[in-house]
This record gives sequence, C-alpha cells and structure tokens, in this order.
Amino acid sequence: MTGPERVQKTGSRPRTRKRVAALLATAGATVLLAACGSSSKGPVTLNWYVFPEPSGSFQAAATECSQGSHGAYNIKISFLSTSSDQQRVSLVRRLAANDSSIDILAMDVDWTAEFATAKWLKPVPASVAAQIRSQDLAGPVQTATWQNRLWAVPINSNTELLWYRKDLVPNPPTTWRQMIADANQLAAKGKAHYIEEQGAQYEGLTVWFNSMVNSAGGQILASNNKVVLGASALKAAEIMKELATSKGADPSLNVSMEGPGQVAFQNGTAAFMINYPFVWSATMAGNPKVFKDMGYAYFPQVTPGIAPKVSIGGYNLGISAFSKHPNLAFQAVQCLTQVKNQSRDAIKGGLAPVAASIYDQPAFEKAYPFHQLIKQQLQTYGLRPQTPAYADVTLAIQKTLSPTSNINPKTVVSTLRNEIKLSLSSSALL
Amino acid sequence: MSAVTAPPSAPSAQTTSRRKHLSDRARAERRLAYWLVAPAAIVMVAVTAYPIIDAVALSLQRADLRFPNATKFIGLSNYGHVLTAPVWWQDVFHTVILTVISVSIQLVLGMCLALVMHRIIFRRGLVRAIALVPYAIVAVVAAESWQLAFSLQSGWIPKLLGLSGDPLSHTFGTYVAIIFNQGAQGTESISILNYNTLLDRLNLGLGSAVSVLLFLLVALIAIVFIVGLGAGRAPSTEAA
Repeated sequence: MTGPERVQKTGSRPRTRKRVAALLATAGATVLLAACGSSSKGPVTLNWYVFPEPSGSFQAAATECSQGSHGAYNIKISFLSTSSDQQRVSLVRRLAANDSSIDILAMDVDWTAEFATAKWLKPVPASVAAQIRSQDLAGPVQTATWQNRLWAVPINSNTELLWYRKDLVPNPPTTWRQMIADANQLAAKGKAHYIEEQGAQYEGLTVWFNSMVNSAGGQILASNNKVVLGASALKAAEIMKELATSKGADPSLNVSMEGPGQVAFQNGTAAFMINYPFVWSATMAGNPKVFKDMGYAYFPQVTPGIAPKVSIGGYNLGISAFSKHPNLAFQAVQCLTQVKNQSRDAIKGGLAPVAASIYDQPAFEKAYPFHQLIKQQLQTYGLRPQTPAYADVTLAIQKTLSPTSNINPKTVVSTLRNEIKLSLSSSALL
Repeated sequence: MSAVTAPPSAPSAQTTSRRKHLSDRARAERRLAYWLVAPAAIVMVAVTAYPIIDAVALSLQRADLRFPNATKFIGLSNYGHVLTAPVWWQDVFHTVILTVISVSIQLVLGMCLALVMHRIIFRRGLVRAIALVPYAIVAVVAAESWQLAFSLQSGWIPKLLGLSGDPLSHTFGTYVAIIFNQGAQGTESISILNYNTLLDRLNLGLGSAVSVLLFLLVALIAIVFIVGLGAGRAPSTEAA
C-alpha cells in the first residue's frame, strides 16, 4: 500500500462513519418495528407443517377451522416434501433446534416413539385423548400411542389390499402361496401373470416384511424393545423370496414402488397387485379397460385360515413441545380431524379416514366400494416396530432383505437380529 | 527478529539508524498486521477448532438425540462400530476409486485448459473469467442440476445417450456420473454416510466418530501430499 492511497482513505473516513451510523439506525428501527408487529393483537398464527395434499381438502379445513375459531387462531399451512423421509428430515432439523415456528406437525405413523422420546411433542390432553379413543379405529389410535400415552391425533390411515384382474382370476387367492401358484399357472398359459409388490430398498420393503411377520403371528420388536423375529420372520422372508424367484415376480421387483406398480397393473402386465387404495381411482382414470375387470380382496394370508395383520400407514397430527400456543393448537387439531373434515379428506383427497363412523357414510361407500375391507384391516392391524430408533431399524431391514431374490433363509433372521440390536443401541452405521 | 536487534557485524552508524528506523516501521506494520488478522483468526478458531474438539468429545459418547436420557461416555466403542461396519469400508473403497479417477482426469484436462488459457490472444480477461465461472457455482446447486440432467423422466443425458434404464441405478453409471460432474471433491461417499448418520438419524456420537475418522483420512492425504510430493517446498514467487 502506498502513502497517497492511505491519505485518501483517511480523507473519506467521516463519510463512511456517517453511512455506518445510518445503517445501524435503520437496522435498529427495523428490529423495533418487528417487535411492535408481533405484540399487536389479532388471531394467533398456528403453523401447520404437513405433506402436500393436492386436492385442497386440508386447505379448506384449515380455512374453515380458522374462521370457526372467531379470531382465536389462524392456521397457516406449510407443505413439506412428498417423500416421507424428506418430511421427517425437515421437521427433525427444526425440532432438534427447538424451533418454535412449528405448532402442528403431520407425523408419519412411524415417528411417534422417536418424537415423543426426544421430547419434541406435547402429550395429548386426557379429555381429547378419551374422545379420540372412542371415535377412531383401534389401529390408527395405536400408531399414535407410545408407552400407554397418546402423543398425536390421527388424521388419516392407510392399508394395503390385494387388487386383481377378474378376467384372469375368477376367484382371488386367499393366501400368498396360492397367489404365487396362480401366477405360475397364468404364466404357463401365456397370460399376464405378474404380482406387483414394493420390493425396492425403501420403506415399502419394511411395510411388506412387517405385514408378513405380523400375519404369520409374530413381531419384529416387542413393546419392551426386545427383538422378537423368530419363526414368523423366517416364514415371512421365505415367502418373499419365493415370490421374488417365481414367475410372478415382475422383472423390476427390486426397484418397484407403489406408483410404478400401479402403472404396471394399469398397463395390463400384472394379474395381482398389493397396494394402497389410491390405485382404484388411478386405474379408473388411467385405463378404463383394465379397470372394468379390476377386483379387490383382503391382503393374502400367510398362515392359511388366520386373518392377516397388515402394516398401517397414514399420518397423525402432533403438537410441538416448542409451540407457543399449545392449547389453541390442540383445539385446531380437534377441528382439523373432526368427522366432517375427515370425510372431505377421504372423498375429495382419497385419504382413508380414521373415524369409524365415516365407513358407514353412503358418500364414502360410493368412492370406496372396498371400504369394509379397509375398516376390517384397520381393526386387525399390524404395527411397524415402535421404537425411537425406527429410522435405523427400518434401514437395517431394508438393507438385509434387498434384493428379495437373494434372501438367504439360513442367515436372514440372525443378520436381522444383529442389525436391529445395533440400531437400538445407536451403534448401527447404515 | 533477533538478528535485527543484535546485528552480527558492526555497520556504520548511518546504516544502523536507517535499519533501526526500518525495523521500527516493520514492527509497527507487523503489529498492525496481527491486529488486522486477529478477527479472522478468532473466527477461524471458533468455526473450525471448536467443532473439531466437540466432534472428538461427542465421538466418545453415546450421544443420540432420539435417546436424550441415554447419553453416556462409552470410550472408543463408536470407532469400533464404524470400523467393523461393512458400509464404512465400502464407502472408503468408493471414495478412493472416485478420487483416483477424477483427480487423474482433472489433472490432464486442467493442464490442457491452463495451456489454452496461457495462449489466449484476444479478450484474455473475459475468456479466463468465463472459464472460472463453474468454480463459483455452489456444489449443491451443481449437484442438483446434474441430478435433474440425469433423471430418467426429464433429464437430457438419458435422452441424449438413448438410455432406457436409469443410469444412476447402477454402480458403474453412478461413478461415471459423479466423476464427470463435480469431479468428486475427495471424500464424497464417506461424507454422505457421515451426513446421513448425523443429520438424518441424529446419532451424534456415531456420526462424530465418522467425522473424526474422515478428518484423519484427509489429514493423512495432506501429509502425504506435502511431505511425499514436496508441495511444501514449492516456491511462491508470484509477484503481485
């Protein structure tokens, strides 16, 4: 640096100082203004973080509930990503930082134990809990329960049925082995014969495995966090491998998810599909020719004669422990999940309701002709492992079972046991 | 500095005074320099040294945000779990492959580019600036745009190559994609493992153990680079 330059700089100093002072003053004023803004009276804003609901049913409920609160609160929806994993990451990051900007959060049914143990949730008040237990089906209520306490309010549920082609299979199979045999027969006759299942290495694979283990009469994890697995797990894994190595396996089974499975069914290459009820309206719109022969039945049995226990999906609404308005938030959640709003979510948005009474509404029966099957499966439900380490446990299951065609019956149960045990002690690098 | 205060020879009075005058000025400038550097140094320590120490401390505990009541000191167990996990060695392997291939390609292409830059005849500044623009793109933005480019539904790369399957569903395809896109900044696969353990699954203890191991790995590479290849001895004669 040279001398003259320095002199010049010194010369310009006062002006700079003035500018800095002006900037500071502006910043100070902004802070003051912001403070004024937040202290002014008016409805409290309740931020609802939820998965994207394209039909507008959630938005309609939020608007109506806000209006009905007579100026007490105003629900502002923030849509998260469509992927459940991404939703969890977005929420968890905010909650781990004690962020008070979330009031109501839509939680996938698997997150209850994790969020409750991490102290991110306010437990549901006893009076509200009693009302929910009397109004909702058993399965959805159980997903929101952790250590005998209700931590969230169910808003919608989900369960997988068997969908089949009536023109190819006049009588739907009732067991997995029968379905695989039917597929082989169809293949021998040169007809469409694939069984669409979620075999990709993602949550859908855990859902499948869990449904199989529960339907075989077993459990992955007991409520005391002990790993169970055992003979039921072996049977489950064996049938999964049997399917994956049979003629019924779609060549893309190892990367198959719900959406592509539905597309394959609608394109006519599949005879069977295990999938959620969204496939009904999707196939209706996608290919009326296939839809004309589309039938539905209960999820196939693993043990002949014993009703299956199918993994429950869906969402529960929790109240953040860091919310500044928990009481208003619980009022809002009660409104958002009331029967009127749930039926709109079901009929307009295709979300399976949790309130038992909706299953007898004529409008719902029309949109969901298979409603009694869903209601039944939500009562004889299967739960995915309830543990704070669910994110690790499910990854361990997915990694061990994928690809399903390579499952080794001799080692699969012990590998699962080791991996899940590591997950439960925060020692699993996955 | 001791050489200045105690000169070995006895020079003339004039030179001594001039030197003393110079060294005073030099000392003042040096002091000023320290003052000027201090804020940056303090910030550097705060944002690098503190997290490193914290990571080492966390890596010796069961620290999992999902089990807030189960936090306890567990010694080196986390390191044991990381080093015995197949996924760690798998990712180390991926990282080594990516590094070797991408560094080789970068070296050759970079040298060619440098030679071309050197011989530019017109608009030298503009052309050089254009060549440097990609460096200014945030890695995440670049990664996202390349992901779009490679996606089966909307990407232009599968269309261009006439691919029917997703190129990213095969290990080899993924290598090619990573190497050509971002030049794999050294430790990506291990970093992603680290990121998922720490931020997706909130396992701070185990994730910190991965961080510390990653840090040691990078330190090792740096030492090999400086000592083995003589990078430390490279003269810096670039004039301002």
